[in-house]
Amino acid sequence: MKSSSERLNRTGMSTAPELAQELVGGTRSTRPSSEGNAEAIANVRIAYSKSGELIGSIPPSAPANRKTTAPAPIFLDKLGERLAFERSGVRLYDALLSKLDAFGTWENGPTRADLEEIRNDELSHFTMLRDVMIELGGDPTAITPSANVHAVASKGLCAVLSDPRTTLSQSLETILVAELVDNDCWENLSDLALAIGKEELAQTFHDALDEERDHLRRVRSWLGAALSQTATGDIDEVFLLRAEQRENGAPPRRAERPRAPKRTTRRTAAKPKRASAKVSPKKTPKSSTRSRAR
Amino acid sequence: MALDLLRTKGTPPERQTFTWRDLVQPPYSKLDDDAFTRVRVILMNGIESEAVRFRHSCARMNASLQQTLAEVRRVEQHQQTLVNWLNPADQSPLETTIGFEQVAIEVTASVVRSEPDPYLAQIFRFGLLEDFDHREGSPSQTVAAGWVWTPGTELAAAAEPIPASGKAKTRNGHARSAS
Repeated sequence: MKSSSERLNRTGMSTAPELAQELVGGTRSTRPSSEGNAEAIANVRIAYSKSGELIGSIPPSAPANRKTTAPAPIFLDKLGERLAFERSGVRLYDALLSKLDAFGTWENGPTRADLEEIRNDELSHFTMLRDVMIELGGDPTAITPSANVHAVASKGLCAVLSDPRTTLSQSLETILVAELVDNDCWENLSDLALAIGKEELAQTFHDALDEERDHLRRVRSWLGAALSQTATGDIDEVFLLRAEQRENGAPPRRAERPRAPKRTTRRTAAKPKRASAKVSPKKTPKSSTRSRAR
Repeated sequence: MALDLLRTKGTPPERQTFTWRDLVQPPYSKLDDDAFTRVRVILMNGIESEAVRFRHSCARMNASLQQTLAEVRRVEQHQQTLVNWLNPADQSPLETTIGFEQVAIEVTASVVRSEPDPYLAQIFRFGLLEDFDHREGSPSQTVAAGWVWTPGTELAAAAEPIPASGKAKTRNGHARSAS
């Protein structure tokens, strides 16, 4: 395998500046052979969208308990969506564990125990949703329209994580996308349960949301540590303060160094809530030496 | 109504033209449509694809036929495109591949039923079981869509609604996992 110093990214025009002008000139001299513009393309898109075709329908439900009223179809649709996403989440973290075993971690990066814990959380969310779906008379094996849309939207996540060339930190960036979506969707599902009068379910979903928030916090923290160490060789306080701001729910600031009101040590600022999420320089079982963030 | 090739006059190739709107038809729904819709689309796409590939090879070996073959090939390439684009964009490569195995099962089963030589029929049955093995491991009901394939009888039966135990019963009495 070539080292990074031996490689050359040839995608930019600056690789061959003498040909760049010629290339741009070519685009000016060869006009499109047909008339039309972006508006015409939009009109075609709109016409096809208005044809009335749908991705699919929401599967029917029949509660086993006659006292239970059939849930609103949109609720089943979104339940199916989270169920599928959590199932895929287990596979994503499985793939992430392989990256960890292959590349090792970095200071304040994820440990195997961290990733296994999150993967198990995703699995327990999946089984909880499956039980809820069955209780409501739905079919947990059915793919609902929302589940299908989310599966298509997140195809890229699986592609990045299953690509043997991607590193642990690149894979974590991908997991960050999944966790951000997951957090918002759990919020929506919990709110939806409240809106249709299912308070008990709303609380269950909110408990899952709390765990997902913790996943997001940890992933952000690991990524910040990787970025900082790659750039500066150390964990810059800007990342620690950003984490602190997120913990406190502070509004986003303009691009400037966050101001710490009063801080004793760097470690206390980034102290995680959960004991299992303690961040310290660790080696993975398969990495003999601590590697830099990759 | 069945097509009678001896009575139908057909349409001259130069009048067989397609616009983009002709070519881009609504795809089938992966979630709602019957599994045999996918089978038919894949089968027909394969037939159109073979027609294009055969004419391409034939043209390379017969210089005098090149123009005529190319004129017909242009039409068949459009037909193949139209049929192939009935596969929806949300269908994964894995689901399409399993669909191909379903097509292989159906086509082989059809050949077995019309094969008078028992030895050849046995060979086709062996191939059928191989294709059936390839279809095993279907990731979800999405592809099977309520149908259960029963090897040996070459009959496909619609599954009854799946009970909580996860086992489906077929109309011909053979029970298989519906997953």
